[in-house]
Amino acid sequence: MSASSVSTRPEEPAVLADRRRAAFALYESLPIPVRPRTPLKARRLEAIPYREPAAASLAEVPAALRSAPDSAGHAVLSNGQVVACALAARWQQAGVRLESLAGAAREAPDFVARHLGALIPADLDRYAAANAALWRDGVLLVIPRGVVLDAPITLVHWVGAAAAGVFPRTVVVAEEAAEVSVVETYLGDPADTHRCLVSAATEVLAGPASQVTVSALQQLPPGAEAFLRRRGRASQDARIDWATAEFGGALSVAGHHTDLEGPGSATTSHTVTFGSGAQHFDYDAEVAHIGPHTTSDMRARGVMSGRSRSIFTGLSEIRKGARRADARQKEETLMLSADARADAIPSLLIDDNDVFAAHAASAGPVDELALYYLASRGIPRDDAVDLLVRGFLGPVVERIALPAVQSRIWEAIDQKLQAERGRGAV
Amino acid sequence: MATRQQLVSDDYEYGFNDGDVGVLKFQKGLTREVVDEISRIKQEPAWMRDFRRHALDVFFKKPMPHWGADLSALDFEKIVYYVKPSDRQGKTWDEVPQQIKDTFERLGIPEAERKFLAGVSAQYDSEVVYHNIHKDLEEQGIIFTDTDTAVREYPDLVREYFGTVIPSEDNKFAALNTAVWSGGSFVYLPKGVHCRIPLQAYFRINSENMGQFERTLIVADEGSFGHYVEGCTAPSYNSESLHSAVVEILVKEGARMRYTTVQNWASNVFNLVTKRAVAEKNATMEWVDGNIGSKVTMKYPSVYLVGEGARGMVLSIAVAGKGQHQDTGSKMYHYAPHTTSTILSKSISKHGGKTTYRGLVHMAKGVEAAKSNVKCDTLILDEQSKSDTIPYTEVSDSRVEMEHEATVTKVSEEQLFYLMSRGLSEEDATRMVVMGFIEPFTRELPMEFAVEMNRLIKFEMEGAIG
Repeated sequence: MSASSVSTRPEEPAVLADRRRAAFALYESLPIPVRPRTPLKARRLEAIPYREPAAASLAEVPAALRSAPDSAGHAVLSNGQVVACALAARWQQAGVRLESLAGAAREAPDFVARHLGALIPADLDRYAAANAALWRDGVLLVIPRGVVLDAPITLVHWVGAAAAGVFPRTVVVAEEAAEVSVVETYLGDPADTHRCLVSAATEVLAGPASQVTVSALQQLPPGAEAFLRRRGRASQDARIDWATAEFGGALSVAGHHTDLEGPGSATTSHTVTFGSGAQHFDYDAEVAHIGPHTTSDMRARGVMSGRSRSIFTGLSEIRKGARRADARQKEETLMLSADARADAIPSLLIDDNDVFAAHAASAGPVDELALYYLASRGIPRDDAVDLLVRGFLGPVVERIALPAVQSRIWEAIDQKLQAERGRGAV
Repeated sequence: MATRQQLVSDDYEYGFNDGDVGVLKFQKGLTREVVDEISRIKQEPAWMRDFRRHALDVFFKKPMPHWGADLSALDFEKIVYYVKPSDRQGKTWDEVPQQIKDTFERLGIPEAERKFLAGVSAQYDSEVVYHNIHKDLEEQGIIFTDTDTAVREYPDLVREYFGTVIPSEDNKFAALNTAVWSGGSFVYLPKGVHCRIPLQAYFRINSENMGQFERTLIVADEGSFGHYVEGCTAPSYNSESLHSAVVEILVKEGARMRYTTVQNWASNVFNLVTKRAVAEKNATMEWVDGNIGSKVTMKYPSVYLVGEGARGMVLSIAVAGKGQHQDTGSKMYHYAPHTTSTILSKSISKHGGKTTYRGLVHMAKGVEAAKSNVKCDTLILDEQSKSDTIPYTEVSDSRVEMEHEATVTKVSEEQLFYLMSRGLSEEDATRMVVMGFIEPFTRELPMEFAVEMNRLIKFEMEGAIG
């Protein structure tokens, strides 16, 4: 990707325009990040041409994605620009705000400046800087104090054939005792193989005693090189739950990070990855226990087929003073192909003693005994493998907060399993 | 016997020094001349001198590792690279100079010798000062000598294997060792020979700012069995010493080798050691590794499982007290089908110490039915202490099973409550829980080492109530 100058955003307030310029300088000066197991230099991401996208329209987005009947609010972004945004009237009256981030920046620059980049700063790395310099639009979601949404807010990020660089941002602010579930989907046409760079950032600020659930499905088109970052900060007694599914793209460097700052705050995460072909997934699941009595539970399940490669790095950090913290991690990988590779690095960094921390990781093939049992019941090997893979992923898929997105994930699983049939899952 | 004074103090028991007893001591700092001079004094063949010179070039080229423990206090210019404490090697205990003998008396070697040792080698600073091997072992064709002697007396064997398991290019400290190595043990177990009693070595650093670079090479030929045990101590000085050993082991088809270390260096020693074994078809390599002393230890005993059905095992404990960082772990490389590996790691941090488990399990492509099981448990005894667990797992085949689990906790309050309800003091109860925690390790040690280990842990535990 190359960009010669920051495109002008005519109506952007000065405070944000300054930041954008600073971020662009960072983008130009920061090196390509060194990820030991993901050689980014070799992917020649700089060769992807960047051009300022033309104005996007809802018409480019498949009809089925334009609305979401089960949701409390729905926003659609096409190539990083908001093309639809609707919130149910009763939630508007309750003071919930679901709006274009660029629009909010014009109307309430100080509010946006305070929250945007609070958790994912531009200097995190080169691709975070690219996002901070080049973002066109994104979504701002604010849940006022005490408001409890009974249906999810859905955000669709469509990456179309015209996309070169896509840099959306999402900011979720849950005030005290608010409750909200956000479902993000990153989607594209599976037949669209052109290379594009997607760098997205989602920040979640969970106020005291609030509860925020973020579910996400990454099913980008096969040419996408994606950097998807999510970070949350939990105040006292707040809770942030993540459920993420990684299925698409050529490369996905993704992850979620939670700062458990307030006493009694908690987080859980469920991550499911299904690699096929030559896909490369590099996922970081991180939690920092800062306040006392904080708890975290991170679970990940991956299925690797074809020549795919996955790296899962779990990091549970318990800082000094996080007394009675409880941190757990579990990572399991099912290997369907002898050509696939899965690395797991489940780390614990513990600076206090009155804590409990544990992790477990495993990798192995489909259980031969289970296949034998199913075969003895007349179930052919391919069907048996399908059953076992579905059974393995089910508990994690069920964590995705919206049935419609769950169905989409099951479809994606079935497609990938279909491609595996006949290979006999060695 | 330990004195009352020793029992109540938290000091390093072996922290005495014998004054300067060296007959030949180099200036500080590392140059090509130092390397050539070591080679000249040892009257080495040209190939070994060239080996050293090449390694020195590699050492200068390699950057310091930045990923592990803090090594900023280590200054290569302040280390003395060679000290020869005695101008002849004693064959019997009586021939060893009195001052050095006194030191080893305090370490308990003659006692052990009197009991049942197969052969003892004692290294003092750079050179092996005392060496003995039982006659019956010699008759079986077992070679157990110091590596310098081996270069002279068994040049073909040494040349065939030296540097093949750990090349100089492996890491900066392996290169350093290869350039300035002195002493260490050479063991050759002939085909089918079972050495029923352990071969033992003791290493001691006496001189201030001393670097000890012993080089151990063990070849267990087909179907043989052996157990090598080493212990390490050093006096307490205010400035840093460096211990950078290289241990290479070849375990040939059907052989089994066990290597036991009880590392109790003083708290000013940087202990940066490379230990690696290659296990061939149906061979078994076992590392039993205890790390209690040193300022910083970075040590990851590894096994390359290159033959079908090879097995690797690591059983380790690390205890980190005030100012200590034990950055230890293990690496298992599965390169053949039906290979299995087991790692059991127990860490205890206290009084502001830090333990890090850093490990790797690598399953290469094509290693059908390989299995690995890793378990790491950590106890943190007080609020000042820290622990990190960083396991890497790399799986490149679908027909393997890899399991890893780890826990980090403090001493369970329920267990303490139960023991104290039975009349134990909190201190005794804590100690009992800790002794139970490391029991899987001490169980595997030869008797006199197990006794020693228990005693060391008890000393370490003084006043360590979390």
